[in-house]
Amino acid sequence: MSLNRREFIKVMAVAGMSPWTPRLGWAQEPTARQNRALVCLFLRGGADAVNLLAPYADPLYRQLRPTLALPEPGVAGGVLPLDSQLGLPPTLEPLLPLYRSGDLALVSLCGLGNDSRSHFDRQRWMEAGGDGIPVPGDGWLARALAQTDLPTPVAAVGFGGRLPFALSGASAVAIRDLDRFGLPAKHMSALTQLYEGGNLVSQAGQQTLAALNFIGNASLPPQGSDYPDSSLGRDLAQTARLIKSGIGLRAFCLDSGGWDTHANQAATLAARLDDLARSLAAFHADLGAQMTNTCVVVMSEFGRRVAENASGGTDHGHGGVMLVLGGGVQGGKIYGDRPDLSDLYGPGDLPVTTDYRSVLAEAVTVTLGVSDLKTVFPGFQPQVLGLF
Amino acid sequence: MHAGDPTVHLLRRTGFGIRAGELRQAKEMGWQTWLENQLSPETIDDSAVDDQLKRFFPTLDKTAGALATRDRNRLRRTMLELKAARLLLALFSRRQLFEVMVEFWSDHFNIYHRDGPVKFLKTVDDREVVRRHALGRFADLLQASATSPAMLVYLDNHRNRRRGPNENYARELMELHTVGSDGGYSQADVEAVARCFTGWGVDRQTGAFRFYPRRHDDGAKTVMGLEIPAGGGMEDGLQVLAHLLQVPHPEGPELRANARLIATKLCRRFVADEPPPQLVGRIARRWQETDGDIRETLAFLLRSEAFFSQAIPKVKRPLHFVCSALRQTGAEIGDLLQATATLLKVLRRLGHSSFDHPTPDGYPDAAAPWLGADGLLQRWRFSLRLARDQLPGFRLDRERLTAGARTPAAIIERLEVNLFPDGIPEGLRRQMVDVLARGTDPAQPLGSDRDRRIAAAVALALASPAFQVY
Repeated sequence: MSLNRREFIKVMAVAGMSPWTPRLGWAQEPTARQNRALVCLFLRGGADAVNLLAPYADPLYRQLRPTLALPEPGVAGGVLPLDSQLGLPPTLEPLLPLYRSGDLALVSLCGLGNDSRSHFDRQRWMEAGGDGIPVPGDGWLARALAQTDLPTPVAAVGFGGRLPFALSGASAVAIRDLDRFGLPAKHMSALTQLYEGGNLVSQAGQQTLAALNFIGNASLPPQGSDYPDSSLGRDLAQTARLIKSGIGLRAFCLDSGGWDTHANQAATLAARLDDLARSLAAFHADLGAQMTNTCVVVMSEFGRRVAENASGGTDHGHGGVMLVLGGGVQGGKIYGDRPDLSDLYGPGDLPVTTDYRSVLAEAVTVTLGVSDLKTVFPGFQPQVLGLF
Repeated sequence: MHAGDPTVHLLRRTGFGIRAGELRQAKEMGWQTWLENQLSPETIDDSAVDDQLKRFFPTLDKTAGALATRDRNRLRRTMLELKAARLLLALFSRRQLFEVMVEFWSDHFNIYHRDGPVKFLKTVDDREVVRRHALGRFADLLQASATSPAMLVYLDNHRNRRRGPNENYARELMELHTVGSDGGYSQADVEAVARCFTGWGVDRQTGAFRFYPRRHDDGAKTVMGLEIPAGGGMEDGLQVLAHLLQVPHPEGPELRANARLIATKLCRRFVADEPPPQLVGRIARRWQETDGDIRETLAFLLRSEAFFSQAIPKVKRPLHFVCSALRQTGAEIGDLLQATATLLKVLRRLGHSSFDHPTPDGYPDAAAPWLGADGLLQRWRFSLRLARDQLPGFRLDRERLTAGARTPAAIIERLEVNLFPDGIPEGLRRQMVDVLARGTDPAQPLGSDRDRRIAAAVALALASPAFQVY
């Protein structure tokens, strides 16, 4: 099925037709589609792409990063080569089997083309699904969810105390701890009356009550094992419980913080990558066969400067790497252009040659059955990557 | 748009909830005089809470040198004392506007508490930067922040040196502290500013600011049109700070970028999440005319007709919600350390623990992010616990809160005075009558379960949509 689809997409693309038109592919299997879920993981702070997908064979790699470059493949703590040019840091070793089995794809030189290097502007723009100007007033994922048939009162969950902007405008709720997500029944009915109004707060209250009824009362499987004891590990474990419960949630937003490595990058980044890899591997194992219906997309607001600074860190850069896991992805390969450290962008950054929205577009088409991408990403024409 | 009592509006917008007695006092002296006093916090006697802080929290007055340690328990204690002091001042200080501005600048110059030596350096930053200059001149506040060891460590400037500059502080200085992300600077400006601040660091012995000339890049630089000649040493950074306050905004050169940024944030804080552009323009001009005099600009804003007429209800942030519930119900502290431990836990759950926002943009000052399911759920839970007097360390005297009223009608009248000085919304009133009277005549005195019914009514009131906004 997916192979045919992929071939089909390529034919369509060659024929100059947009392959992302309605009623293609999975659009014909609505019930199967309703079991699919999209998990968006945002690495906040600007994750360093140069050491996440290391161009270990490029002699400039070691020149520009005299202390931060990873050792050669084969040496202790060395790069795990994916091919003759690029490799993963040893901290990502738990992801290697997923890459080799074809469940994990990487997209190189990927991100938002806008020249800004501000964390906050770029996070907002990317969560809005735009490229800077003008900024849509709601989240890209909210617009994508609006196109799906949603029989459930809540379509998406964001983990943490505050709802991420990507879900702004969606029937979505923020949850910190599933086991503490509930209220006694008699308060529920009093609050239901209290929050009948139409203003912003009342609407939020209605959403909360709907979520309490829907998620708080659902019977959830116990937590799977082997997750790291970290905020990301806990949130992915909760995501897995919600997916396995089969109550029909379609999207999840998760955050991982601490990627802004201006100083002491070696230790900080290793810890972040270790957490990321072990959390994702645990999630993959936890979901088992259901992983084919679940697509995880990992993104960050920018990659970092190639050359290291004097603090053993790197400053804000440009091009990054995106990860796509599960959901029928044609993994085991690196999509997008290869970095060339002799041809850098601006103050010495990796360029962006694949727009982050091209990755998201394929993910929402396949996972959520979105047909009108122009609404999700206004004014943007996705490039066909054929990830799925 | 606000159409109620101006004194209520002023007190509500410039504090953490209106305490019983405050409104009466403010009405007696007139809101103008009340505001005058609030703008001169040094004239307000705050010894009651200050004495408590001195007695229970000895680290607050200490220097960085005295606080410096690697002992985890001592570090933990230093952090807890600062967080607890922040809460107690919001709750009990009579200088409410001052405390609101302390919160405002703590967000503007946000520093993450758990970042290495920041654990103890933030205590000094809170005292010497934020509190010292909260109503002073912005230029002084900015310079104090730029030389604050906590800020230098948090944004890595203590490692910023000639060979391989670190751009972290330079970028946030422009984007967040002075001109704003639309303020018209380029990546080249960020790099030049980073070079200007090379050598600004922290003395490892004393924990104080120190300029290291040998780490400084003494070459010539250009920052947003300003030529900085070679050999300026520490002057380079000082010149940058002054220049960033002067640069015109690219979209309208009659206004400075810094004035636009601060005016927008002040109007968002005090008037509406999406402040009217004309008002922002007027406040920005006042900011410029007074060279960033915080007190003067604030006085101008809070006395303006627009402050009253253009206000749109704002959603209380969790700290504000929790404080207003405690202040307006007149909850008292039984055991101070237990009470602060309770509140710290509540605020952590609500996602608004002081000094714990990891990224330099500070906690958001707009409604949407705070209204997710978890946020409201935790507010509802807190309302129930407070109303039932189940918050460890606190005592809620429901008898006093309702002034001994016996009938549902009289009880509601008392709750209205304390919790909704502008009037209880009709729907909420009906529901409060329901839980109090349970179908009987609201003019008849309640029986033995009166206390439990009051608790239910208070919980309802605090959990209601009307109490989430101000």
